Amino acid sequence: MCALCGGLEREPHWTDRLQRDDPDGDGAALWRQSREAQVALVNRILGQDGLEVRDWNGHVFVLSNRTGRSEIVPQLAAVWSAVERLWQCRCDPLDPALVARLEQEDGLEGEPRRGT
Amino acid sequence: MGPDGDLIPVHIITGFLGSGKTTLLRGVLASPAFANTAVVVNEFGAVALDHLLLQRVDPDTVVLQTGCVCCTLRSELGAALRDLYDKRERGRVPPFDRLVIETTGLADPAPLLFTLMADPVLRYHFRLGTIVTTVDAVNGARHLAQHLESVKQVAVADQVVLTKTDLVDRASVDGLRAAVARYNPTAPLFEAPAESLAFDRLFRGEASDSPDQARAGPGSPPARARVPVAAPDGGEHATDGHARDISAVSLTVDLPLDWTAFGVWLTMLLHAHGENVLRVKGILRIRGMSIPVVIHGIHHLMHPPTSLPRWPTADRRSHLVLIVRKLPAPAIERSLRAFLRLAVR
Repeated sequence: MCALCGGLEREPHWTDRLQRDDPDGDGAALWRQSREAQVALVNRILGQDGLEVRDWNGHVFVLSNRTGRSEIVPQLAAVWSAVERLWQCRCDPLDPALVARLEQEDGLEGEPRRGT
Repeated sequence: MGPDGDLIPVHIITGFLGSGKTTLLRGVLASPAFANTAVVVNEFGAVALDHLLLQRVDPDTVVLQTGCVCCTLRSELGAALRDLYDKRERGRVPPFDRLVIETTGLADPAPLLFTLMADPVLRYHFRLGTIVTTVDAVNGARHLAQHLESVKQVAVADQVVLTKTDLVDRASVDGLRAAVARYNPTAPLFEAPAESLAFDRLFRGEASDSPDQARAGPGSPPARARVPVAAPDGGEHATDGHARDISAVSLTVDLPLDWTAFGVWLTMLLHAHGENVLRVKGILRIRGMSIPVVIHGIHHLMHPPTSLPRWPTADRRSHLVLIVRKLPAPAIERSLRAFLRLAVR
């Protein structure tokens, strides 16, 4: 446990364990940027009025809704289960409605393609 | 514990009943390069016959007697490995440098891999090495067509050894190679006894070797194939519905990936469909990084990403292979594309 903030130490999630090849980079700054980017992306994907995911001190994610109901989750992978519990919805990236909404927001053709 | 290099690699030998796992293991243990190897043999049935063949390594051999390595034995396997490590630390067994686990022929290897990757104690001492799957050239095509376990064993493999290739004709071997490649297009195939197996090459000790690096040497084009679900052409058609639904999906991304978007997408995919994602392998070009990042995963569990010192070929694109069950490739492709575009804006 951190003596200053009380945050519990936790095992890094695999998405947090990318070793950047920038030895001169500010590790803490990169971490903050990465967390902010994760939160922004998750909120865009959720895309529902009143649902919000926030980063808390780089330690955990806090999910909350308009009624004040909230849940703390330790890592990105656990966000999806918490969202489903709190909002009775399904988090599926293959959901055609979700993909269509994201495509509509972007209005761009994608880049990955299957090999032959 | 320090970086992965300090951890003891655990190599897995899996394969269906009678596919030559023990023969392969005996060959490995006879190799001078594998002198300091401890062995865990998982037996199925009341009599541990295979254990009798492994007397040379008896002091370091733990025989699990109560069944297959699937769920019921996960805790026992974990306990066995912790006990072995404890004996090593106390000097009660030689200070082995690596561990080889031979699974039962009927085992789904995933629970065993979960145990190694997720056990909070084991992962401080051990790391997953190479998964080698043996496929019998005489019966392998039938096993793949009829038994989901056989397909899973092939799907998770880093390397595949075709055994008993001297007992069938060339066309049969070629047919089996095609059948194996349908379920795992990235694993290199070795033929025994036709090929003299270089065990140090077979067990490279790194689960993080890239799929393309594994198959091809420097400068060679990477393996890229979207493999159809159908049974092998002209071969036996899958009679096990689950096996028939398994396919390998390969995706190529030309531009550098945004790691955040990719991570968000894959965690969400594994949350929703992890039980149907048998294997994830990828060599990725990440935005802001000059060297490739390699990822590996089995079902819901992802191995921490690692980076290679250099690109294995001139190809600098990202290649991602998902071995999936009942998941349509076009939907996966479209979803990944949509998520990656989020980061572009």
